[in-house]
Amino acid sequence: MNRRRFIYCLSGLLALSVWPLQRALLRREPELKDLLANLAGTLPYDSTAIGALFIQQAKNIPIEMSRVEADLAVLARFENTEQQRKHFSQLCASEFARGETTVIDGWVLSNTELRCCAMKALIG
Amino acid sequence: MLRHEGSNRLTQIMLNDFDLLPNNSEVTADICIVGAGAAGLALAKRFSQTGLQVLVLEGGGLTYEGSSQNLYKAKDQGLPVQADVSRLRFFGGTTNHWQGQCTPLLPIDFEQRAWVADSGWPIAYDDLAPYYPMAQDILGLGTFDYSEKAWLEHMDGSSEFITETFKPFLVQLAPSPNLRFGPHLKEEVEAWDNVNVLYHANVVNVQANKESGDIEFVDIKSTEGNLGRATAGKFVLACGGIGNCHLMLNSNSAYSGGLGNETDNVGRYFMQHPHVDIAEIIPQGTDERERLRKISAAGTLPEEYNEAVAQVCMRLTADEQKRSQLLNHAFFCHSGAPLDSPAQTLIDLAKRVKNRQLPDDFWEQLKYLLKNIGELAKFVPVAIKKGVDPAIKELSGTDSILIQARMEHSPNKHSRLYLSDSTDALGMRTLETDWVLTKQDRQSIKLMAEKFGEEIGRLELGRVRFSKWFFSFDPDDESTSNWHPGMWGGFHHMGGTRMSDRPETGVVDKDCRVFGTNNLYIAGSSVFATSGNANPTLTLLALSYRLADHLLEG
Repeated sequence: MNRRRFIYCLSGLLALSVWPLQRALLRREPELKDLLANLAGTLPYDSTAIGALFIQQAKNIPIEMSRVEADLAVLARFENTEQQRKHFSQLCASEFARGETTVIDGWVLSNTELRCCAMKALIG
Repeated sequence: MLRHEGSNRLTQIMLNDFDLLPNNSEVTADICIVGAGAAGLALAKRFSQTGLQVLVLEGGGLTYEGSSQNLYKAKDQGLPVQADVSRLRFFGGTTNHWQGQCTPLLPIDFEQRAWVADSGWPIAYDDLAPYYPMAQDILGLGTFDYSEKAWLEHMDGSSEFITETFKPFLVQLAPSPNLRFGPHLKEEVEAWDNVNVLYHANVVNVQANKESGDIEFVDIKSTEGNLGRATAGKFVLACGGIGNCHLMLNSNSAYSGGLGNETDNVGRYFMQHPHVDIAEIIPQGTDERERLRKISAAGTLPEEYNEAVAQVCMRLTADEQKRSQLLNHAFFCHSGAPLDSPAQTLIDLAKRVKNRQLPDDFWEQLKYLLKNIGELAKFVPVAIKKGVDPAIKELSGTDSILIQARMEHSPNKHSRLYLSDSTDALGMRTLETDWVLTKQDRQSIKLMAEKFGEEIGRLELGRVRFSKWFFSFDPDDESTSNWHPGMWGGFHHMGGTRMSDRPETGVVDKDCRVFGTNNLYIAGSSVFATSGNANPTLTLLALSYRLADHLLEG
């Protein structure tokens, strides 16, 4: 990780107040990067840009990053890309059903996908 | 038969020009209907089957005339009403240019809703239900069924869209020739032997006897200056959603504030249905796009529906409205060019600049336009050659699934029509309009859009994205510039002489009789106490038939 990216990650994670996760993220960056890129392939928006916006607004939006870690851990168990995407879509769908959503840049998005976008923006 | 006092003879006139009558003629009838639009002609048709002598007074001619249409000129002080282009003042009234979209109000629209101030009618949906099929009939429509069941059975609908939050409903299109009441009913009117229609007969005053509460006569004046008077046992004002208020406020010889206006309610609670594109659905994939076509479909209904063309719309369920304290909003999904395309942004920005309403993100929009100058360079010549909308479609495609909101307008006393100080060609004071929406209206549409976004996500169909304008739309901002420049009221003018159970909160009672009078009634959408989201014509026709029954019983 270059210095610029490290500072970017650091400032983002400071905003999120998720130091333990930062350490975990840095350790697992390559696999996470692949996983998030795979999930982002199904999304109709620029997930990195949305994630960056989400981080900017993080002060006003409750974020439970431990849930992202847990969700991604579950997704990582699926080796098949299609299965990962399907499970992710169902995860988001259940959040939509519970109304656990945020409107960001006009997009009505589930909080899980937003957290994933935020993580994707952090990892780059 | 009409008695012409001026010529002192009985003449059989079915459809005649008031200007051909002698000056100061007096005509008499059992029932006098003022206005030959949808409501007036439906009433007349119903009475044509009785032995009553009926007189219909139409202000305009048999076809469009500029001098008559100009009488509708009214200055808009609030959001746009555009009375002079939205109404039509000649035989057949505004049916001469409506699109024929029909759908009924719902039971919840008649109920008193704790979360909607001044909601509730003094009648229930069931009181009106028997009259909806009669309204269908005059419009040339068949079975009275607008339900999701009809959509499932006859339009290849899909039950996945019938949820706890939203459900589909149909809008049936009145077919030609029934659509245009004037040309369609003209021959029939001429054949009625107990209904007489005078055109070029503007009613300029309704004369009440303050002591008895009786309406004694109405004064008639043509734009050519011919004068007359009509007397009748009962009078019905059917001048349209704006005209009824205009006439009552101008009839101020017995009551200085206008007829029926002792509690200052005439012209108030004026409503329209705000229509505006708010968002688009971005399908997850090709299969999802196909699934979404189900809720943006139009089709032809079977024979029992007179093969009417129908469109499907979506609305909040009554339960969801109660749960989330929302208004009864609906929306229509349609194909179109993507929202916020450079061409569309240019058009919207030009409108705002013209209206001197610069948006907060003016410089950002300008930067966006400059960035896309290449696309705009292609757009402008096509727009000049073919028009704006075709050019946008041609250059941006029509693949997007747009969500057009059709909002309920909550009853609001400050939304009103009132008299100005200037006068028109007939010497009547002209109207000014102040169409006002509330914070509740604005909040409610935003929340509905979020809920629909959640439904689309829940169904794993894709995502909803608000337009840039709608995303920055601020429910706390009361200014007219907060609204998109393309927002319009659908030309659905409602309220102004609202129905209520008491004069403190309305103008007419449950029988459409003006409070404080014995024999003056109002027909038309001006009596609506709430607007729902339904196109008003079907309901105003049903109300007219209900009024006809009441008058016949009396």
